[in-house]
Amino acid sequence: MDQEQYTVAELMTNSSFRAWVNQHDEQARTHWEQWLAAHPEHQEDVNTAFTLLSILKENENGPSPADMAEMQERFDHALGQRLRVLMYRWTAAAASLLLLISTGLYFMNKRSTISTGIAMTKEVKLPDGSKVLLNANTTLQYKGHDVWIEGEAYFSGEHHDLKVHTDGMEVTVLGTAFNIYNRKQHIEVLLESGKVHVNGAGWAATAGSADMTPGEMIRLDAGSKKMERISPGSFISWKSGRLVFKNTPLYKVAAVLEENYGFHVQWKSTTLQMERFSGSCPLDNTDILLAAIRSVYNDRLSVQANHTIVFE
Amino acid sequence: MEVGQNDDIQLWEQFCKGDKRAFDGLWAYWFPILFKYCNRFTDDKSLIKDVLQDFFIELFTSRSRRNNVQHVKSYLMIAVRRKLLRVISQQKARSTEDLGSDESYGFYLDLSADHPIIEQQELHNRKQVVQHVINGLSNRQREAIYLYFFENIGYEGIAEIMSMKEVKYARTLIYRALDEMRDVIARNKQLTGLL
Repeated sequence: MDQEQYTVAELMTNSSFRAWVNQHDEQARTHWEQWLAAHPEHQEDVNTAFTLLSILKENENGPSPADMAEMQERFDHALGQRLRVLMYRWTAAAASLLLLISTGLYFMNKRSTISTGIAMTKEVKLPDGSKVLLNANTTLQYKGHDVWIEGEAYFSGEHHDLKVHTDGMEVTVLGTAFNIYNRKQHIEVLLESGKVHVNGAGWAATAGSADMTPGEMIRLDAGSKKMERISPGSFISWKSGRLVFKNTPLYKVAAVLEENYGFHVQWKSTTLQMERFSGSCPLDNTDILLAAIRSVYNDRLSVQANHTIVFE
Repeated sequence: MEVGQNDDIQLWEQFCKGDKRAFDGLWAYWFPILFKYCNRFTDDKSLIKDVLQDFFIELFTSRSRRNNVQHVKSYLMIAVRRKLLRVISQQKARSTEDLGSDESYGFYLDLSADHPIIEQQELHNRKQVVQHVINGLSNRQREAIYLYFFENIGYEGIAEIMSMKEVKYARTLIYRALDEMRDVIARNKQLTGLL
């Protein structure tokens, strides 16, 4: 039952009084007007409590839509670790199928195929005299002026009317040096010099197109199927013969170890995933890298049989 | 007064069962609330985003152990607060800045400027004096006021979140602040009455 007397603080912390002020609750309003009629001496306190509650409103400082979009991507990326293991198995099955199809195409269309295995790079000279450097675990096919890339490749030299195809993007080369990255979750193109035109194709046919200028990096995400310009800051300079990480989250380091070196990475907890790591090693000696990570993270990493790395 | 508490619990239970969509729903709902809360402690938005990312990912990877959470809101706020304050104190330790006070953190509270009622000159004036009072409160008082009036958390939840030994301390903290506000409003009224 209601009390006869209220202090200002008591009014302000009374849920019915707050419902009247903040939610304009009709029932509460009637109740407090009746109470006030019976206790007119409280008019002043009610006014003060009403004013204070009206003033105690938040200054909007929530995340912006851009913040939310960024977090969505960060969560997808970080939690993608688990999904990727499943996808890997799935793509292993799909890959053998693709291989059959592409061998079929090979005989029909005479595409030449060059692949690199785990932990190796290879330089390929195209018929027009230009060069392509393939990163580890990459397949290049070419026929005439068309090149297909699965993996990561760096194009340099004078290219004439070259068109680079991936399953979700086409890059039309207008004389240039650029890097293309086409693996499971996204396709990235980094333009060092010259000029290229990129457009969505295959699964990202609706992604539109863009002209790139030197220093730009474009990323096509498999989830959103949208192209966006991103900062090339953390670009891995594998073409210099070293694997370089600068302030790179460990989950990204792990992704490189999986994609380029065929390691299988297991996380016993995710606390290490966002830890940032800086360091480099020769492309053909990941032992140095693994030892460096181990020394930084106090033996919370172990390398087991079958190329399995476990982060505790 | 916990708003929508049943919905919270439902989403939480789905999330504990490992439903990825429940995770998306969970973070999309709680991220803005926790972001705002964290923003009261620090202006460093990228730090807040890092802390919250780690927080939600840890939550997801250990979700099955968190099946018995009763009050999702206070549970999340306790955990996020602890994590954020740990990171902030680590940063402070690194910059070797000792504030020499009993309070190990800052809590900032800005009253809304765009509330329609505040457009009236008199109320605008009062808002300023109340803001002045709020600025003079201790960090813990400001935080308690924020949790109670802006986040609708009861004394019990506040005592839990702010690690108070007894629930009544939360009430005392808030009442003292409200009394100060009342006094300044009364003085302000006299003043405007005189003018």
